[in-house]
Amino acid sequence: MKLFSLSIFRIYGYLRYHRLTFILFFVGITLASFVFTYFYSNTKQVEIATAESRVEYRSYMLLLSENTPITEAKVHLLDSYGIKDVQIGCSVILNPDTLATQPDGAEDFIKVYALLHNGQSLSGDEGNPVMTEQQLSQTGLIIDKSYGNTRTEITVNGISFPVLGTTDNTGSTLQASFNTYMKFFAQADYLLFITDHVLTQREQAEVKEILYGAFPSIQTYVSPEYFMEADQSHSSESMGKVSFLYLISLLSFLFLFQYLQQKNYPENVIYCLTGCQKTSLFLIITMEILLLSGSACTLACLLHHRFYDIISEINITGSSFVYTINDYLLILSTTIILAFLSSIPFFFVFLRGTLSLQKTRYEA
Amino acid sequence: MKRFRLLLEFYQKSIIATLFLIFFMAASLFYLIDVLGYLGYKTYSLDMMDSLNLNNGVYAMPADAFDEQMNGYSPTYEELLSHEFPAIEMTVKPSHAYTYTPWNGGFYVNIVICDQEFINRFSFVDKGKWISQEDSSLDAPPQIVVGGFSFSGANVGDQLPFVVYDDTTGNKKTVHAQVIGIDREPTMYFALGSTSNEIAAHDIFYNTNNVVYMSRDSFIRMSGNDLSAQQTNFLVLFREGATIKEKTAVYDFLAQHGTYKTFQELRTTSQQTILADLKRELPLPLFMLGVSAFSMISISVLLTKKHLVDYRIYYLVGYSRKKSFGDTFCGILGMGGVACIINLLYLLFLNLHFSDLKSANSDRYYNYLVMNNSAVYIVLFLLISVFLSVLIPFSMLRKNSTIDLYRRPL
Repeated sequence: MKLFSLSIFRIYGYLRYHRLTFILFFVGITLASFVFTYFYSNTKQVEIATAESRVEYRSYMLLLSENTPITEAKVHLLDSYGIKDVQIGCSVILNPDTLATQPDGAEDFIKVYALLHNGQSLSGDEGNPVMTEQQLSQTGLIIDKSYGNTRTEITVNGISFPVLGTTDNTGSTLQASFNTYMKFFAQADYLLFITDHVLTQREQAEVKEILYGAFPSIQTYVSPEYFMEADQSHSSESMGKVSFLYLISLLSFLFLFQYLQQKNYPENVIYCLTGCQKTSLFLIITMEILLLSGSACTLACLLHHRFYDIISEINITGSSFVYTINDYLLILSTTIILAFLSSIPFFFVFLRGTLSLQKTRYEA
Repeated sequence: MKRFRLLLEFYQKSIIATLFLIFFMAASLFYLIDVLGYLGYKTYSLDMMDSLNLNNGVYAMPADAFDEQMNGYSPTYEELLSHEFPAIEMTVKPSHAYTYTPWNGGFYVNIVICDQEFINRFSFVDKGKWISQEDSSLDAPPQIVVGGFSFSGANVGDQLPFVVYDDTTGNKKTVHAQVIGIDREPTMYFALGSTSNEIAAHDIFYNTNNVVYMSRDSFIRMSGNDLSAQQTNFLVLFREGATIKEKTAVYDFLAQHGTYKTFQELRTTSQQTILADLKRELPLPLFMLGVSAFSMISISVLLTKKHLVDYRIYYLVGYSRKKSFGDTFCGILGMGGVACIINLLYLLFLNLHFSDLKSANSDRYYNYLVMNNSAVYIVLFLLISVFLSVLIPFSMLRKNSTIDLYRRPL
């Protein structure tokens, strides 16, 4: 408590006798804290993606080692978790005259796809349906325009299908309605389950278990966990950069604090003459740094919170990330720790040397 | 010399803080130059659309069969021409070729082969004259307009060598072409190869090290053949006064044979991309500049405070107050000035060696334009921060008379 009182007293002394320097220092570290608070949201990639309910956070993709027979029940495996859509696909063989219009090697990638709910959510919640109502009710395939604009039928796996329509830039793929797919192909080497919300980690683990149980021949499994880990890693990197920026900004203003401390040399000499240990002096200065950086950060957080509507407009995170009290507390504690770390070199300068040296330094 | 030593003494009072400030400010400006270069590339592409008056038309992306695409033949384009839609003023579908020049150390060259309509409609020339079909006689060398960093040493009237294959012998031969015009930096390559729902201006006009514009006749005379590559996409420009109904007929046709984006949609996509980039890229350098400017104000105050002790001695030996103001100003200007000079030199370095940098680090400099107007922002930043930084020190010097400096503890 005595140390706290002494620190407060010394800060009051700065404000009274070295007002200009102190105000510049305080505004400077508030500015540095504000920068840290602003960029803090950019490091929260996972939270932002979850809030935006991004499709990759809701997608569970399976690549099977070969075409495997599939029943309708398997497509509905994850219905209890809330399914937005399911895409299934299988490799097919085209007859030679159709294949001739494709580039060399394309036969390895020719697939027929179908969507359980017509793909309205594949590219986000406002996606366009892949097939019209009329096309859904007919037996046939939608083909890519690279097969030719005027083609009226196409032979797949030896079965002739009428062409219901054409698409472009889909990479030689063919599209069928779910009913047509189950009737004529009923096998899959590719499945994509898209849930209607982001599942919890526990639910994701359950989904993985269910899918591995139902499809033992899974060769590749890509779940939201993969994207979350990548984003988390990116977030850590961003946090490092933001912290570095804060440290550099803070160091720009710690020279002012050093000046204020130099003005305190006579006081330090008196403390030491009256029995104060160097450790206690170190603690007083540390307390000052913590109090000043803490109050500057609190002020920055208050300003950030007050003007968040404007700030969110100019930040890429927009309204996808809402700062909670926990976030502000985390920002506060991080800035205090960083402020302490950045001031360590200055402590060595202050506390190095004898009493007479400190006195000489002041007089110089 | 004496003044210079006094100036150095100004910094010696807090040399680490000064060096730190210079480093931080230089890094902030460096980052700003990079971000402006990145953003400038995208905005300049959009400006190109305006300057070429591309505001009434569409970018067509036909979905022709693969083998037809590979042969550079577009049935959709041919069919569009055969329909003779009344809304269409002209279509733009330039051909491209690639060759080598041993000039200036040797490099590969992008050639845009222009037909008559293209020549009449566009002009990518800042110095000299634009190409034309008429003035190319059989005896004269082929005429070209060049642009890009690789051609920075070329002048109008120069004859540049190009290596082409001789069809008759199968060997390489060198043909000279005459430069009649120069497209000064920044040079954009006019290309219609991108196909996407999110097509933007920077996909049509993209950064290039070099480009050569020439008429088809000149190209045939130079290479001895017409083996150029055609891109499947093309521009459709509507005539002034075309009705909505007439335009809709073209839209319907293009929708049946692929996709298209109107210039307005293309512009909107570009603006959205630029806005998103602005939000993502600009805050960091701006915050850094803000912090460094405030840091400069603080360090200026600190240095002046420390220097006041010396001034009371200087004043006694005949140093005028005017000189003390001058020294303080020079001292503060020097800190920001060094940071700015470092960045102006960096900008100069970019101008001189951009093509080398781009080939050495294409990821970083591919979507990048050397923005020489960054120099204006740098100088502007320097002036503003120096102005703000001298305010408090000047008031401190003004407030304290010589006798005050003696009487009051500093």
